[in-house]
Amino acid sequence: MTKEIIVETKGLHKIYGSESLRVHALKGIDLEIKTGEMVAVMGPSGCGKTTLLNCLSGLDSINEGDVIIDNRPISSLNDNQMSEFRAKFMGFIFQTYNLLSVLTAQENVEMPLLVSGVKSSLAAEMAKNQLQEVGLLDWIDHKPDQLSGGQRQRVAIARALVNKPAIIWADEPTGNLDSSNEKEIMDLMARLNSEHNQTVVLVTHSDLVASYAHRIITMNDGVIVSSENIKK
Amino acid sequence: MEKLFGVQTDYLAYGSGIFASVMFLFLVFVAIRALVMFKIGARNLPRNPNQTVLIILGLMLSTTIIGASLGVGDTVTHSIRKVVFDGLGHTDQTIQPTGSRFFGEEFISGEQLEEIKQVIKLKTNNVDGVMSVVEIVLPAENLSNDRAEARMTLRGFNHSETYGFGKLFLLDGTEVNISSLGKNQLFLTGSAASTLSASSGDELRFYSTEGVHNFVVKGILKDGGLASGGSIKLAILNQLDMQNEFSLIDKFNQVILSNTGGIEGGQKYSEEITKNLRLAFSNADVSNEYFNLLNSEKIIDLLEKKIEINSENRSVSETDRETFVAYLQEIRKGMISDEFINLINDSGKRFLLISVLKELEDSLLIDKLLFLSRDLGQFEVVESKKDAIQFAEAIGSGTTTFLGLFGSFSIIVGILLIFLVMVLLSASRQTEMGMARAIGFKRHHLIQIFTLEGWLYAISSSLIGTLFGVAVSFTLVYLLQNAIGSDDFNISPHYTLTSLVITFSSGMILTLVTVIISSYRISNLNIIVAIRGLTEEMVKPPQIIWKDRFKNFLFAILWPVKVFKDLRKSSASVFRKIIRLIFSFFPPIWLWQIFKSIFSIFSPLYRQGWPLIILGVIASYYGIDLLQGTYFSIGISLIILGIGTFIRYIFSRNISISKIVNRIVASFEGLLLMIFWGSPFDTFEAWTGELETGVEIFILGGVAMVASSVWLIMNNTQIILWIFNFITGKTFSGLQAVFKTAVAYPINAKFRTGLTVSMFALIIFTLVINTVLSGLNNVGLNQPDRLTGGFDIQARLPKGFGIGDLKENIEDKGFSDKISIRVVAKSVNVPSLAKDSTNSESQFDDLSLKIVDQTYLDSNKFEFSHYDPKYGSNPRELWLSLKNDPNLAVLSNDVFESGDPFGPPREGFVIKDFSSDSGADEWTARQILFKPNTTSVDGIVVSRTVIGILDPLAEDFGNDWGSGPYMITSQDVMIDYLGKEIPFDTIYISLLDGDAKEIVPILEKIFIVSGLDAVDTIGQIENDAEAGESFNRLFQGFVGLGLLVGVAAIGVLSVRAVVERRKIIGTLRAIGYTSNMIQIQFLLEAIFVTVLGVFIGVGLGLLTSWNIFNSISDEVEGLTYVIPWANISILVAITVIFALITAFLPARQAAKIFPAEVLRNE
Ligand SMILES: Nc1ncnc2c1ncn2[C@@H]1O[C@H](COP(=O)(O)OP(=O)(O)OP(=O)(O)O)[C@@H](O)[C@H]1O
Ligand SMILES: [Mg+2]
Repeated sequence: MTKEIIVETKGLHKIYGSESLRVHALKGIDLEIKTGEMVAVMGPSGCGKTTLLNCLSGLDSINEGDVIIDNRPISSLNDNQMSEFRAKFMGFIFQTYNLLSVLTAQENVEMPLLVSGVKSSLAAEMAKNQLQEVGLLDWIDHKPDQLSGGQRQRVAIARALVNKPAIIWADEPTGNLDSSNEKEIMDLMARLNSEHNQTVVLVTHSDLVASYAHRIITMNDGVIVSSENIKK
Repeated sequence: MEKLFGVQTDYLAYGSGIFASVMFLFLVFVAIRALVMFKIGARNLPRNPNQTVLIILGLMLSTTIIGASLGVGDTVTHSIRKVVFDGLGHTDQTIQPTGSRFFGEEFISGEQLEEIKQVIKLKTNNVDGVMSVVEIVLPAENLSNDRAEARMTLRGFNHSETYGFGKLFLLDGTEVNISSLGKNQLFLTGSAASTLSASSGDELRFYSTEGVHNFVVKGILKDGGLASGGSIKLAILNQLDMQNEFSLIDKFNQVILSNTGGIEGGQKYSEEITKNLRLAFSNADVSNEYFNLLNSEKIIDLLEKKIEINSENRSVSETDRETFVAYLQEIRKGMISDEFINLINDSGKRFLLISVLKELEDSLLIDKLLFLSRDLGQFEVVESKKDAIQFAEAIGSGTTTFLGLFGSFSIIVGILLIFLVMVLLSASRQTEMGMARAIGFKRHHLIQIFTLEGWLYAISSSLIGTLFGVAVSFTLVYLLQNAIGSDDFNISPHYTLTSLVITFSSGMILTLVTVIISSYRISNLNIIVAIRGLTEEMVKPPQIIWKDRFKNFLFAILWPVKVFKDLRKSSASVFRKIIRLIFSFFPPIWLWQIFKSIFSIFSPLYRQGWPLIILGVIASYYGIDLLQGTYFSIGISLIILGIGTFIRYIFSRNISISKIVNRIVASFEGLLLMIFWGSPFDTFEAWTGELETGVEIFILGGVAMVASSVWLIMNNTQIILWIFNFITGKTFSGLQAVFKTAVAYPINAKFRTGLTVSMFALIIFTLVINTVLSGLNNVGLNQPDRLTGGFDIQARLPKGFGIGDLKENIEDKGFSDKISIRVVAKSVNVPSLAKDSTNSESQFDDLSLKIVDQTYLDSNKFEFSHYDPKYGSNPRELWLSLKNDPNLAVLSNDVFESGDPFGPPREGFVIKDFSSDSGADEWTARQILFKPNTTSVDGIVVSRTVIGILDPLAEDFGNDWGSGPYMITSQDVMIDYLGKEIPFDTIYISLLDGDAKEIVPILEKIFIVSGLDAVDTIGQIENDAEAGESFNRLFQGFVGLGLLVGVAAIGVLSVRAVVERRKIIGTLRAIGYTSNMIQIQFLLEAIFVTVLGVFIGVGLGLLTSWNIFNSISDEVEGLTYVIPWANISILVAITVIFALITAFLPARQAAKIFPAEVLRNE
């Protein structure tokens, strides 16, 4: 089965800061990610992993090169188009969950649906199903501060997955969790990835997390030093 | 202003100044002792200059409002003072014949004048000028150009006496002299000249009862000096010439005195001089007799009762009370003193005493006192300037009190803002504070840091706030100029040093106290809970260790001993130890310790609720017993809160249900309090009897209603969410996402939102009430006949003049084409004393008798608030009865007690046993007896049957006796009562067509010979309404300052929200929010909080004004409750727009947040 390439970048450069204090965070990244692939990005702290993720997902601007997602160069999208693109095409998972503390689990999960124009009754239904899928049906009316770290991350995953995005970006999704929670979360992500054929790009320091991936990309000082497929 | 809230402003300034300085010094002391903490606190100011500016602006608003109300008061005082000084010039005291008060015209003879001068020379110091004045008021006409003036004042001076009263200057600055006036020459002052459009050489004609008098204008004078007359139209003549021309030879109207010290400085001698002169002129025998009449237990008891400060004496003003105290002192001496003679020779104070003595119901005593009054002294000495200045002061401080009263809402809101700012400040420092605690800072260190930082804010904000207050007051005064300013009265902005000190000090005290209290709250790190929601606070009662608390109490009583004991162990330097020991003896500190320990013994009990209930029961019982509505209301509120607290306490052990119980109980508390405070004013009367309330109930009620409804809503936010979801469920889902977050955030930050909502609600509440009630006044404009009786023009004639048949006269003079008259009615007022014969308690009291002609009874359209149906069922029938039976009469509506807490105390005749809110046809005819009001010794008592009470709207435009009750009856009374026909002096004209405004000057011109002075009644009403409208604008502008505070709160909240939610904003952007959606979300949040507050404010405002309306409409028939939706919409729109503008910048900032920037893991 030949897979389509969903994310592609060539000669990607990212430079932070002003004239006086310049940080060359990405120094010419070439990368192709196929649909349904689960890619782990690893490397020492400060090597540019988060930067890479943000540039690929269009959250951050790029100094040189372009990112092409689903055959669309993201440089051709303006801010509003990019937002809409994110709403329909991508899901994000963060290390610190970043849930809205004032909304319930279900309302948090509904958010991306509402933003992309799904009717509210349908959105509620879909959110419930998604929360069931991550095993939180009993917790839908709870607010984030009434949930454990693992549960919160599962809500965040549900939020990232609920609009069936083609790509999921996860920056150290298990960074704040203990190892048993880490395993649970990764089992869940792996399962969803294979069931829905969604592309997952995750940044991690954990070998356990990386072991779930199809491919591990290793970075150092703003460049990719290796990219190896894992045979399962 | 010299007095405010009954306290000398100087004392207020000293008091607040000293208090503020003590606080200031105390904090200097703290700052020095804890220099490190001070540095940590102070460091924060330059660190974030924008925030610092914002905080200072937020904190200054209370000060600004205080400053503005004082400034307006100062300006009003100053402006009236200016009028007084301009009008009186150098005159400080006036001496006039005693009889003129009783018999009208009476004169001082040349011989008496010499005598007076002699007495002044012998008995007084510091008088630098004595001058006799001849004065008459006459209609005048400028023959050169046909201009006329009905009331021209002619004053004759004697050049040889003018020393001390200033000089005369022509407009071009050349000095002139009265003796330079030739025969039938005169000078005009500026205002007289401009009215008559006169210049030198013009020929003027005056009309007196004796004929015409022609004069030539010698020159136009500059105002001031001898030509001081203020706004009166003044002509200055040579005394002798004037006496000759007007047959006033050897007759002088008054003698005026000037004190050393110039125009403003002479007042300080006034009291002394007046007293000496009164003594000199007094009749010893009569004074003695007077004293003996007053020297009785009965009178002493009455006066003692009058000087008590209680609700019954609410209408007794501060100055009246001082007068009573003075009388009491003198009477208690048991023998007549100079002081006593001085008192009874002050006619104002004498009448005050007599009017109070009427309560003794001893008409013989009153008659004797009144009779003796005529012979108390040969001349009456009046402190003209001092009295007028005191009046100015009273008006000024009245204005400030009024503004301050309503400004108190804004001040409260300003204090809430200070609190909010401090809480938000601490929220932004939470991590820092946590770190500080972690590395060993104690709680009191945090308090010190915050207090000292707040201290710096307080100093700057009260300084800037004071300046802004001055600026705002001048702006408001500009509005006031439009309201009451005229050619005669100019408003000149003014601010006294005293007011500046009061503003600055009280602003600083308020700010500092709030800052210190919030620092206490903040440094208690549980505040985090409080920020999230109010209800969680009471969950866990702390452990009570009774033994320790009592031990602390014992220590507190022996505070210095404890300090000494503690210090022995301490390692501080000897110097410090001594200082601390000395400080421990300082009474406030010692008392504070005792107070604190007592409070800590009882504080766990408060949590149980029952002490509150007991307190509440006592307060309401006390309230009912003393007829005090305020105590009663506070009592009931305490009971409600106490019961709530008690229920919470019972369930507090069970964590699982305590939360739900808390919410339910809180909702009930809110609901009950709202119902209690929002119910019609007479709801509880059946149970408690009629309770007395003051103005404070208005403020208290407003605050209580707003607080309870915010409490209710903030405890039931789910309902709001539910409603919102329901409404937005039908909109675009993208918008719904935005709505959802926009509502969710404020609803979860209960404390902040509740506070801000309360601010808006309080201000809008006041403004809505004001708008609705001022709309009620317009009933007059809609039904003008009820005010004017259908008469378009009302005119008065000076004494001794008549105009015969008005219609015929107009025709004869060829004006019938310009003026077409339907009806001419006439009346004359006779001051009288009256008594309700059906009520045995009734005493003879002032009641003006308005005698009207048949045409008046035939044609007027006045209505009745109450009437006896036996005499007719509509106004016309009742007036007809009055016409057909000369024994009938009607009374004006002010014979009823008004019950208006803002109104002046009512005076004169009163109907006691009939309630003004009875049904219109429930009046039954009753006999009223009346007699002339000078003395009844030789008078006859006449009676009339009163068949109705006039509409309260009915106005009596020409009533010379000022406002006060009057009785209308037909002209037959003249013979019965006065024994002769007397001429009518007031004319009422109803026009067939034509504009009264244009006809009035024509009429005045035609009848200038008779000195006719006419007013266009509708125009008058419109002018009054316009002035009222302008005053309303001033008021609204002032209260509207509070909106600024609310808007500032929105700004502060928005800025803070953006800072706190950076990461969430990034996340939302990642989920797919566009930057526009972020901006809209923040704006919606601001709108939501504002609208919630506005909604509560409008609701409660309408409810309260409905209650007020109901209690008024019982008395004023025909009032309709109209909600001025247009005005309210404008008010709401302005509020929301301002909130939006304020939230716009922070919202923009939020929209500009770059997601990748904020999403980095920390
Ligand atoms: N806003 C910024 N301005 C300047 N330099 C930045 C900025 N953000 C990141 N950097 C720099 O870019 C480099 C890459 O940062 P990045 O966050 O991508 O590293 P990382 O590999 O994700 O590290 P970690 O594993 O610690 O999360 C670092 O040297 C960092 O200091
Ligand atoms: Mg990183």
